[in-house]
Amino acid sequence: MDPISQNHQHNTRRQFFSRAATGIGAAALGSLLSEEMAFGDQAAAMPDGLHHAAKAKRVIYLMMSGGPSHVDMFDYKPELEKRRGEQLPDSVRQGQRLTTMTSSQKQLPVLPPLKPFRPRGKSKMMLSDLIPYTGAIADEICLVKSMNTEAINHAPAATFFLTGSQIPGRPSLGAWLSYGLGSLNNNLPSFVVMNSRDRQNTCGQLLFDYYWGSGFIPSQHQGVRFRGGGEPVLYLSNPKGMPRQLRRQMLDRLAELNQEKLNDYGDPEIEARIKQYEMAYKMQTSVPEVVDISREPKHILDMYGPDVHRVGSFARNCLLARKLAEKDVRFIQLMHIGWDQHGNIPTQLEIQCKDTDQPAAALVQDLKQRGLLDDTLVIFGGEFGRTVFGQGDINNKKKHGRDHHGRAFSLWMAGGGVKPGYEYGETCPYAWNVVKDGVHVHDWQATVLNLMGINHELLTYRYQGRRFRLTDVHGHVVDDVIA
Amino acid sequence: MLLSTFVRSAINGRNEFHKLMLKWNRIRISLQRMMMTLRSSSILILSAAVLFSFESSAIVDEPLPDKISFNFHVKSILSENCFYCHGPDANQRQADLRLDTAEGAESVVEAGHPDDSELIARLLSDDPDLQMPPPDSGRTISRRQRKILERWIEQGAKYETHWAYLKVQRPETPKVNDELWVRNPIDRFVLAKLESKEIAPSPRAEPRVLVRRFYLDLIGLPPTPEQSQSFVADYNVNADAAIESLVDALLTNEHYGERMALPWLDAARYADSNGFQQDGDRTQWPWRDWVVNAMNENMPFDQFTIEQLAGDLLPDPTQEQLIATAFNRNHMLNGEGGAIAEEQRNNYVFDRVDTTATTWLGLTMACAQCHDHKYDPITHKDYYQFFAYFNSVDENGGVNVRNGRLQVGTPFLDMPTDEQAQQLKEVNDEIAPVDKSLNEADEEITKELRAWEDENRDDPPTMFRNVFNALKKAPKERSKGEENLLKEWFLLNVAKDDWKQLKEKQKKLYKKKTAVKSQIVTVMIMREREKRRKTNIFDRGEYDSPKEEVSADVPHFLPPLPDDADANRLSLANWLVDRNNPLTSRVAVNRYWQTFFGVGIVKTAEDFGVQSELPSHPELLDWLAADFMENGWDVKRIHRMMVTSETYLQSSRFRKDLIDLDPENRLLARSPRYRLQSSLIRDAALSTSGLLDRTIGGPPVYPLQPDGLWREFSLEKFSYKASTGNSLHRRSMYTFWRRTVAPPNMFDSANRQTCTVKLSRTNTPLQALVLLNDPIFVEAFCCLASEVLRNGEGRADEKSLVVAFERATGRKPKPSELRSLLSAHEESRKYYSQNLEDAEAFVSVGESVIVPDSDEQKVELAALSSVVQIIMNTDEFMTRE
Repeated sequence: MDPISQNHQHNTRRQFFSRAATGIGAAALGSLLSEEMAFGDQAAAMPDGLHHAAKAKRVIYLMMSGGPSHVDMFDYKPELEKRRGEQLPDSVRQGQRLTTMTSSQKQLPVLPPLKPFRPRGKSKMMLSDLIPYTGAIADEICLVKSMNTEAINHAPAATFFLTGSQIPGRPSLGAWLSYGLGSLNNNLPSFVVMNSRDRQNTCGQLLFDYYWGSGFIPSQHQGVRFRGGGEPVLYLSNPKGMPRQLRRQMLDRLAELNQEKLNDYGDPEIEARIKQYEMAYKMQTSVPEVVDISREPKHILDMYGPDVHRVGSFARNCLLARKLAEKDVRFIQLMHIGWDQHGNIPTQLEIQCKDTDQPAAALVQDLKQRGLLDDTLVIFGGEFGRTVFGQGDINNKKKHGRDHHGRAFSLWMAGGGVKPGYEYGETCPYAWNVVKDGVHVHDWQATVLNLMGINHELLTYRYQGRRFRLTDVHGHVVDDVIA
Repeated sequence: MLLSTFVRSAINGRNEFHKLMLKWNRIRISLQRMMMTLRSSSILILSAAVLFSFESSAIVDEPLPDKISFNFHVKSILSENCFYCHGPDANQRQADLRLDTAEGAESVVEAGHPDDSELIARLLSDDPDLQMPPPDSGRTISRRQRKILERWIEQGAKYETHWAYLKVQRPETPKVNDELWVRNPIDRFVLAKLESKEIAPSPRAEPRVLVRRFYLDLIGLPPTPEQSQSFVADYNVNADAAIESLVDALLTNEHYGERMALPWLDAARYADSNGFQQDGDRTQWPWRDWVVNAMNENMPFDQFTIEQLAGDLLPDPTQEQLIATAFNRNHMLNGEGGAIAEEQRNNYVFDRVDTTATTWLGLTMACAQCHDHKYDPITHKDYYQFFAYFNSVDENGGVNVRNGRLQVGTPFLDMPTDEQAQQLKEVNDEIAPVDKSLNEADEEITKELRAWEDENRDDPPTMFRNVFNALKKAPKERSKGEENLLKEWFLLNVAKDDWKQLKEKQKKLYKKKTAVKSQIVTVMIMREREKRRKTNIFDRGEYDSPKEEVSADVPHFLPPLPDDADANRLSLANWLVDRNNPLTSRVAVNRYWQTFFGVGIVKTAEDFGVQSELPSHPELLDWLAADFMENGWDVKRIHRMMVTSETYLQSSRFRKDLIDLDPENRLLARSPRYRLQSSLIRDAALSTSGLLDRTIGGPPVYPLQPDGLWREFSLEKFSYKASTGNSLHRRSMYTFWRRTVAPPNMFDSANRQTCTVKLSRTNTPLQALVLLNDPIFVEAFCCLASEVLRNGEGRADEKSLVVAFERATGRKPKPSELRSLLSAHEESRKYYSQNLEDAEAFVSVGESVIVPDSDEQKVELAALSSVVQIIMNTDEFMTRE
């Protein structure tokens, strides 16, 4: 019997833990002993780790940070072209507060989409010419056009999407899943994050580590960030002059010393320590292996586009996401910056789409051809959308844009049990208000958890005397998008 | 079916009718219960057994208490399962029933008669319309919990206020059988409980373990072998005297203040940058030093409280007292473009409420920001009355001063050094005449500018777009900023030479002034604005939905303020440390306990409310809390008592007999054993290797960290420039703490974004990678190896290994351990003697390691360093035993 399971026999508290984690996978990176395990919580009380049969085993979340314009990309409104330059009617605006970047702007002129839309695939989904590759996978995606959020600034809105609260400090979606479901493998983290940004560096946005943080749940569930350059994981490489073979020998001696201590003191935490060092050693090879793309055939690399050769690009990260999914990493979060086009939408949006459209579509196709799409949920979307009215002078050919807009925006999902080639929800002719089947951020979160076999009301962690959940006290599963 | 619908509508109806129906119902449920018992008693037992298995064995095995206490046995069951719908929150309340008040609870129990009590009937019902908790709530009550409720009713159903809201009374110290074991009153409480469960305490830890424990717990640094040996020698002569004298010495050691400041910095969300998108720097470190000093000087906790919360309101506050108030300015500050200042300002006030309430009262006030608290009696109104204390700070929610990277909001205290003050004066003196000349000429300049504008508006020269835009506008339509921009451009590019020179000079001088100012330490402090802001209750917690106006006051369910108290922070601070305040002292001593025993007497150190975990030793907590207050809030006194108790001095050796009896060691039949927090592991490595720079206080430092980390996060906006020399080896607490990119090697730290009073203690492979591969640790390995070699003959032998091991752990290795060390040494020496380049590379880390010239010595150093590497990665090295 391995030391960890032996240890469980000793300790009632830890028996729960094993129940939660081993129901699905083996004892994993994320599931070493924790002092802080939520004792008796619902997650631990699921004998098989799930509340119902899961449609998806893993998630790849392509988080488009900055607010991609639903008006230009996803939400087709044929009337807008005719209304170019007209004022956004107050009856439509409905008193929506604006950020301080446009709250003093006197005019709110309608700015129609940059490029034409056309029907794509058998489903005839209307998508912009800005995203032809997404168009080509229209029959795979489920396009939700009625997303909405209360937040209007980046950090609070992204925090809300990722943690269910606008104020930092709550566990992120990936951390919840790691906590609730445990890991599926034993030499990679269960939650990996990779970030990229627009190559022109146009945007001042920052990514904060609480976007993949574990908040008040044990920190082993926080996302492990794979870096775009240098070592993929901080401190992963041995120091210079410490080759792997010598490290191996040293770790064996270390294990002996720790074993001595264990024999003397009997503290099961020491067993966990021994295991911890062994896993660290394994990770030193498994991580470099998974980020190495040298064995990918050319036709696969080509699918993701030329940017795949640039370390740290979104395209490269999409390819790595597929590799991580193959290795059963539970939650893969790719954040891509550069969608915040306040004053440069005519030039920047197209570039941004070029950077993301082909790789995201390739990821879906690549997963599909490997049979992984069925149980991998791919999500593409930002923290909010953008206003239908233009920011700045819309007659200036290059210098204008759109402001943040949370009342209605779009997001797509593919695989993992969502309806393919399906559109859900509807907005008004200005793509400003939701008129049918609104999906609030909490609803979306409830739905993602549901697809993973989790009832969002039951996945809780007790902190400060309260059972916290991702969806706070809100959220309804959107049954209609589930296949 | 019909009946149940009827019953349900009755429940939603008026109270009188409701009571009538309850009686009616009771009869029905009794009948049902009889049927059920007959029909499926086996099923009932089976399902209870399943639930049973999810309770901790400590609870399961324990017989029901003879005397049921509402607070200690009943309340948690009700609060967990019933309060959500039958608790303090009026909006959520169902059936007009609340179980968190005596009246409410009495309406559903018949004292002395569980069988006639609606409460029990509902728990037992299998009718989904009647059953409580309702099946769709996801909550269930175990058989044991039900038995407790039944016995409580049997015994008269006495209702009590939540224990933590009752005034602290000093309990009698209990009698114990083994009087000899007792060193001070703490031990009586712990031993009495152990004896009642027939568990023997553990023997005293070995002196060499004790000395390490004292050092790590009290100053956060391990003892040197000499310090260790000296204690052991004293101990063997007179154990008690040795303990007392070492503890006294450590309590007056200047590093004591640093160690004790650590949890306070976490609670105060102290950091060196603002957070959010801009994440500008701040210089709040004088406050950090204030805390260290206060701890070292043993400032009484009441004074410590008053100065931090209301130092600015004291008569003629000193500069130190103003710095103290930075406690409530350590929150994040949002300088993001587009942020709405008033929204941010309210967020800061929310943060102060939450932080103050958690830190002093152990109350989760934040829950009442949007609605009445679901579990505790904190009303929505209570929240905003508390909010009012912090709502009149002279601030506007934005960043008001930007000097280089420094970004601060008002109010603040500039703390120039004498030299900086002089520099500032000089530059101001230079600026004054230039400003004057330009001002005097302004009328003339404007006139010329207008003339030039008219000539050039249609065909302007090359200029920046923003200047161009200003030019395009008619003067009256321009903002002041646009006018100034254009004027500046005009002066620098078009105007006559003497004006041009003046403007150039002015620009240069202002740049110089900014450069001087950006070096000046600026501490954000508390100061009230002249006119108090109105405070309103915010509907659903949203700042733009104000409702009823309220004035500052303390929560209604706690002792009131004196009648003549002003409605300001000073009154609040005095109220917190009043002898009648039931929470402050309990919360404080509990966190001290957590510092020395790993876990608080109340495990939920952040929450003393109704949902908190019950204290493991309630009488001990109250005794300590009373003692603390009655002895002038003397912090060192209470620390001393804790670490000189026999409870503390026990061995931490794991005991098989406790596995089932007390798996979490809540009864303290042994001393706890746990991994040090990451900042202290780093300090221990630096100190063991002799690298540590022990300077106390001052500006933060920048130790080595992986290249590019800040750049990646900040999108090239700022990069990390490592310190040089000794600053690389300061204690971890002086490392610059950037909120958006925390120091990468300090795992399991408080996030320093919001108040944290309890650290998580996890175990992941990433942590092992830090401790093996972080250059700062590698430098420590090599440095210790180098020193051991220097003191030896230059060539490592068995003795060197023993010395290195002892330096790191405070003891000599056992023979079996020595064998492992010898093998490790032999293996690494063999490797390095065949791979000279690697030997050189491994020891060429950091500035402090002197790389020897000869190949042989390089091999020696590398070989021993790699053995030190594993010594400093043993569980023992990183563990408080």
